[in-house]
Amino acid sequence: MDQEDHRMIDIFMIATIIFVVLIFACGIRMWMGPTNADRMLALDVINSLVVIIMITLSLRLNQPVFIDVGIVYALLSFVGTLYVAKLIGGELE
Amino acid sequence: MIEIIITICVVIAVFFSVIGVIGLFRFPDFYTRIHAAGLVGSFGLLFMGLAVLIYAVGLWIDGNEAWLNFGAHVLFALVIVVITSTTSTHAIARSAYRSGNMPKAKVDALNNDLPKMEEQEGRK
Repeated sequence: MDQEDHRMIDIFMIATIIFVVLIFACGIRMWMGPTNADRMLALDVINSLVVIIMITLSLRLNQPVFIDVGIVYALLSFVGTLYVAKLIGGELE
Repeated sequence: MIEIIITICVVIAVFFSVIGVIGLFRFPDFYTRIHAAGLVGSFGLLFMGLAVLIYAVGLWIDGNEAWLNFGAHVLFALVIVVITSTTSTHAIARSAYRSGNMPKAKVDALNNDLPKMEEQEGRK
């Protein structure tokens, strides 16, 4: 039982490291994106990946508080995404 | 048994996230990149939430009191993320089309329908 527990922990840590690497890859797309919409799309993917990392860490550290952090991050990033979408579309006064 | 199912769910989530980010680099057009970005928000996050739900079921079988804490929070997070990620993707696509970012497709049905839509909006 103890050995299986250690294997699970390793898998969650590897998944978290892979997600962090993916966040840096999305940052490269954000840096070289041809249009503003591409940059905003890359930022949206980064927000999804951060929520995934929070859920993974809640399993890794066995604390449900990280899921709350993910919920609040998803709501706040949603508001920011809508505002920047309005800015890109030229609908702001 | 439950550890194996959780491992499979985590592997599926990592796989689809990697595929989505690779598609974000490889696709030629903005409107095809949205397709790849939706893969991360839907499959990656839903399967990771499914892993936590199965973990909560395992806690419930073991008689641990923490299963309701994990299960309720993850259900709430999944509902919120499903609503917000689809809405934000739609908003980005709409604003990109309005800012003159035309797709590289041969058939652009929205461009053909735009005069009719503007006429309807003017009628209201």
